[in-house]
Amino acid sequence: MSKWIAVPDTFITIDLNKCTGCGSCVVICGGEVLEIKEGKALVAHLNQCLECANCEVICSADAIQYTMPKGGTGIVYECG
Amino acid sequence: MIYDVIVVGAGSNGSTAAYFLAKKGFKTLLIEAGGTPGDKCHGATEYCPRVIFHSMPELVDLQLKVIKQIPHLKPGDLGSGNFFYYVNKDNKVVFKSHTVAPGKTGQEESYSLHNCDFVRVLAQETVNAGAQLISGTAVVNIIREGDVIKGVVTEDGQRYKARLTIGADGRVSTIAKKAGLLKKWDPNICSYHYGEAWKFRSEEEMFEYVEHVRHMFFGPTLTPPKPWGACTISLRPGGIITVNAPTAWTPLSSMASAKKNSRRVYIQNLYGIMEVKRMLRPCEGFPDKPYQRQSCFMPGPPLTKPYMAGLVICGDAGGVGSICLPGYKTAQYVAPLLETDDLSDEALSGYTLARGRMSRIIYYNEDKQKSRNNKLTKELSELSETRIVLWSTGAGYMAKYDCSIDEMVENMRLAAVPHVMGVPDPEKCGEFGYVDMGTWLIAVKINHLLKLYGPILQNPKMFPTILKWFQKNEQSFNEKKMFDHPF
Repeated sequence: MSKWIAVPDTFITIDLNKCTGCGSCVVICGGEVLEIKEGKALVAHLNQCLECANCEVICSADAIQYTMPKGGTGIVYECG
Repeated sequence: MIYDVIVVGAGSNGSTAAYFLAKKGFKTLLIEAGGTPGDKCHGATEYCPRVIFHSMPELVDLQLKVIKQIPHLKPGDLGSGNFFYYVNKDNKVVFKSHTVAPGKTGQEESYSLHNCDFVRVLAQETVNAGAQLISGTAVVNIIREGDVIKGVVTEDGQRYKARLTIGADGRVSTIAKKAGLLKKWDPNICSYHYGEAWKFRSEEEMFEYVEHVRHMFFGPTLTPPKPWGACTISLRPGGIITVNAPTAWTPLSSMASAKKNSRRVYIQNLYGIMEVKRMLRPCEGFPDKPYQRQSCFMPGPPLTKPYMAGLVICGDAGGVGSICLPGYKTAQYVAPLLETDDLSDEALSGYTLARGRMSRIIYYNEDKQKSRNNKLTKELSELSETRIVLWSTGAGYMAKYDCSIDEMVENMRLAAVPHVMGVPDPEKCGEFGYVDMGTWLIAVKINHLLKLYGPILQNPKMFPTILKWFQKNEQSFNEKKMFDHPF
């Protein structure tokens, strides 16, 4: 079973000025991390993040920036 | 201290590159962001080193050495075979077929194992070969002097210098981005992947419920339309089953435009299929609480310039994902340059073609290969992953006959099966063919392929169910030019 080691700082940042609230990131997110609230994307459950960065790639407004979490934190996979 | 090489990322490619360079005596530093190498490596793979890397005995030896140290399944133990299911728009299986790989390859030479296990042991072998490993430390920047990369900076502010930096830090590549070689991946080309793992109480129990190592489901309820993907169920060591919905053959952009979340829609449809329920029902938590979830994308297209003075980008970080091969090719390419100490932009320019994308490419005609090699290699390195995999999913069949998924299911012909399997049609995909038989063959050269699958292609009796159905319906087909519904 995968583990989650607490991350000190968020590693998904959303530029609310650029976000159009299209919801593509919510559709593409396998961890259900993101939500749309008041027409803008929001990181709601960071500790469910599977660290795939699909959100950054799919964002046509370039509003999402994904960086790796701090070394030794975030998800730890145990199996396939 | 100045290292000869710093490799960023101790995944399968970073570790492999570091292993071969350390073994050659270069002072090698391997830096990994995960607490332990393998922590960030999800997924599981069928490793068949002797088939895929038969021309690279060193790499075969390394892979086998690693594999033998960790728990693995051999499809030979399970009854090797792939099951294919075609699902209609009502989410019902309407047609099934299966294949059995002939010969030794499928039976004895492939190993199903978890990538994280593989990478943990591989990184240990790299350390044993003489590389220095720093784990739990993310690299946040590169050291740039003019147009030359001189090393990296880690999150704790440490600066590590080297003659050559290899960025093997995966698809979210800090190195490629900081060097300005990667702006953003193309969502029309990156393929999407979502998967869940389920656990049986034991391996024995798993074998009781699931026969054969891989089950593949094709159909309109399981993935977005065009290009058509598939969902797969595969057996893994430790009584683990991995379910991929979709398997990584669907572009991110199709997923977004279909507006259906895999976790909520496609994988739930898959679990709704009777055949799937029957297999997975005994798993702990099924169908609400999987043992593990995973998600990723396969990056692409490959970076047009994956190098600059003092730096090369390797594997997924450069959009040429594959297990171990890009790392091996990188080590092969840079070792002579390290010897002569010429790591200029110009000296590294051959890296674009040498970086090891070819594992998935099969040449149709070896004789012609020599003359076409350069041109073809270049063209192929620009092909998207998605386009290549079309041939493995049945989308190649649909393109050829210009039909929809439903029509293909309804009009299943005998000839469709080799297409669905991804066996290349020499007319249509003479230049390349892609095989994801998944279970044991990921990619082989075409002659090797024909040696293995020639008997299947020439002997339709290898598909007993289809043949029976075909014979039963032959007369009606001749009259109506259309097969009756299979069941």
